[in-house]
Amino acid sequence: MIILNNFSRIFSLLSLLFIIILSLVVLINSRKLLNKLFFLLTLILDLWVFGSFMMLSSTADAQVIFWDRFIYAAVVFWPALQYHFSLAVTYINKKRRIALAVAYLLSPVFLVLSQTDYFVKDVFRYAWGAHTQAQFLHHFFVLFFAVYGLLFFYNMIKQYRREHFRVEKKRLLYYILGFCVLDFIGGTAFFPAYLIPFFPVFLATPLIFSLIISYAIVYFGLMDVKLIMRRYFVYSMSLISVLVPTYLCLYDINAFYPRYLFPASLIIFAISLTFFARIKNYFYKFSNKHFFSSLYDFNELIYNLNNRLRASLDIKQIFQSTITILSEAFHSKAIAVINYEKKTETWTVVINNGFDFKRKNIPLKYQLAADAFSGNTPLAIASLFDIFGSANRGTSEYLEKVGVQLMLPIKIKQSKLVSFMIFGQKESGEVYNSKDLRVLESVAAEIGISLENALLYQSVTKFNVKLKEEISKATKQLQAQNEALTILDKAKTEFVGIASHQLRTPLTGIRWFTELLMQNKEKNLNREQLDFLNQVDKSNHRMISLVNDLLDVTHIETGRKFDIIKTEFKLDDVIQEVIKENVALLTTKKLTLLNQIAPNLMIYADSDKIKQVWQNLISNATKYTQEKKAINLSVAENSAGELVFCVQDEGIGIPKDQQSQIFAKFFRANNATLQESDGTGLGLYIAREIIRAHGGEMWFESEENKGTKFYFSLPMATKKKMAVTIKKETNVININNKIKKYA
Amino acid sequence: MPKKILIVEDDLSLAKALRVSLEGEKFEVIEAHDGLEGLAAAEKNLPNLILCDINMPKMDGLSMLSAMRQTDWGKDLSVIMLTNFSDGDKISEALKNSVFRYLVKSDWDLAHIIEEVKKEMK
Repeated sequence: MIILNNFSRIFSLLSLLFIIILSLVVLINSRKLLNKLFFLLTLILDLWVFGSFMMLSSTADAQVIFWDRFIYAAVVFWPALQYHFSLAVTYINKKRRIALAVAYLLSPVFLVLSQTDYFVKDVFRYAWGAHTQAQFLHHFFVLFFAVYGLLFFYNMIKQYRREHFRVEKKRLLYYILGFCVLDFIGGTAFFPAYLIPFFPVFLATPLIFSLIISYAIVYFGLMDVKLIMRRYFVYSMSLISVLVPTYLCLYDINAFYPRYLFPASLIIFAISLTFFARIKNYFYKFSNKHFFSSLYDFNELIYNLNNRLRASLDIKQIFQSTITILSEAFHSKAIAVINYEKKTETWTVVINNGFDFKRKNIPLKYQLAADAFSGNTPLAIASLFDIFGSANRGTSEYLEKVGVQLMLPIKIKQSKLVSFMIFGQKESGEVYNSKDLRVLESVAAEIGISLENALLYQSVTKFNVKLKEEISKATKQLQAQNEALTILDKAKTEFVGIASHQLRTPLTGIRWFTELLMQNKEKNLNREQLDFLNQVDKSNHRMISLVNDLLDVTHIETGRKFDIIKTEFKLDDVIQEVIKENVALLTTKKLTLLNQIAPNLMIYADSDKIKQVWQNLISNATKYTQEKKAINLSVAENSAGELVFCVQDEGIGIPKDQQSQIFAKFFRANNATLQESDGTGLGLYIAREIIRAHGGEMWFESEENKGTKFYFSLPMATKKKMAVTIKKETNVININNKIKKYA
Repeated sequence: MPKKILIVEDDLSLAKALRVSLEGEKFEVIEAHDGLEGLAAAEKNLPNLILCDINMPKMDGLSMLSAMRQTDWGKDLSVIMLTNFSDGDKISEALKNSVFRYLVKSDWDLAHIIEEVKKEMK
């Protein structure tokens, strides 16, 4: 009997202790209605156990009745609160709301009634203690208790049966189990009131209840108080381990050696205190190892993630880093990243760590509600049901089947993609708690920013790549064009070679046979026929010089310049030849040609080319000078030791606005074309190129309608340094006198 | 004894014009129409002067010239290259083989060529 008494006392004390701690723990996360209700329920349990303990220990009738009424003052609210709790776990509709209102209305009624003699009266004593007897109104309370108790279980079991998600099911199961213990075993507390001598095992029910709920809190995250549970677990287990032996020891010493109680108790307390710290430490470690292996520091995690993400601009790497860090924190069995493409409504697995998707494309066929994942709020798989609705039950079920417990939508601005990180169960079997969810919210925001950066970077990179491609394409095009041009240029050069031979040969034939004919050896050609032949010869000459000019230009164009073959020669010979060739026009125009260049001047240059220059300058001067005017040829030595030749005419001059272009290829001044229809505009260009090929330069001074002076310099780059003496001797050619000679 | 001149020219009409002019000046003219023929004719006749074209079938003028310069009989023969090429490489190659004069055909009258020939003969 003593043991039984002890037993009931120990358990009632432990029940009290546990339930107080549990109620305080749950209260910590009191933002939720569920937690508030649970706290009130545990408060009732506290009062009930305390009252029962007091009642059983009481001896006087008045005391017994007082404590029993004390109990009922609390217990009357139990059915209503318990029913309310079931609604908080499941759902509320109109009917349920009415039922709840009725319960809350009846509770104060029973509160008042419970304090009357019509509720409990008289005391009945059992072997283990005293109890009141139930009266007429008490039956109604039992009925109220039973009806709302059954409604509670109906709600819970109904929800349990329709619940699809394992974790939610487990949670419900543990609630049901806990409340079963309370209501059915705890309900036996009514028996003594009806004179049934049932041992008050009910005193232990809050203890069992709190153990069941604690377990569920740790493993299934009930009421989001898991972390607090660690402290709760460590302290309560330490307390039990210390208090139970201490209490038993003291009790036994008191029973058998009451004289030594005081010194013994001192020793025992001392030992208990020493052990408490160690036991607490042991339980702390134990709890960490088995229940809280995923404890992590929120700030540290965010800091680490920040560091990692900052270093990366690669989308896959961003996800990979995040997965690594979250895996360390959560110890999730699986984490994956899936993408949802709004346009095509398809899901793609980007990264998969541990899920068994079988295929890369998840067979999900539903439209994502636009605002379903509006924020970066993590979604428990259970709530997907609410979001997707019954139409998409398959999706939620599929996700649950592969073991998804949590989906974290990651919103990226300006992206048609919605990415999700999906999380499997934790290795510890725990569910994700509110701290995890808070972390994930921050994580989602972080990743979102990083992904945006990465996408920006990607688009910049893409643009760069495109740019490079464009450039290389353009370069290739240019190269191809260049090659084509090179081929064309080669073809041109080849053409020049062919042309030089092929055009010159027939022109030579015409030239020579015309010459033979013009000799008129048989004297059988009349004057007119000879004149015709002269015209043929003139035309042919023009043709030949045209071909020569074109060949020269082509030579310059192809960068081969001129092949300058220098020899030493008497310049005067060349000049005389040129005069001879121009004598016809000189004579016709009655021009005076004044040659001031010393007849014995020897120069070292390419005689043919220099002749070409003189030919060009003299023929120009002849062409563009009006009748009876003069042309003057002279030479001087400049400060650099170069010979500077000058061909001066009194011709039409070069208009100022066209002077800059006079050496340009194919250019002919306006006034020149008016006067002379033929001419290619190549002569001066070639002449200057020839002079430049000799290392000299050509320039001019001109005034319109007054005349032009063409100068060209020839450096004295002689094989043997020649002493040039320019005699101031004038060599005036009287054209009119010479006509006969050349005619 | 008239001076012998060998004309190596593949264009028959040009060869004829040259022959007519030179014969008018009392030269003995031998004609060949490619390099090989020219080489054979030169060895056989040992002319006082060769007027030689460059671009010819079978053997071109420059090859003929360098072949001839290798021989005892041909190393000192007078040659005037008479061509319509004005290409620098060909000119410098011809000069290397001590050609007296290099003339671009189309640039010269027959009278002038005969003047050059007479100059060379002196």
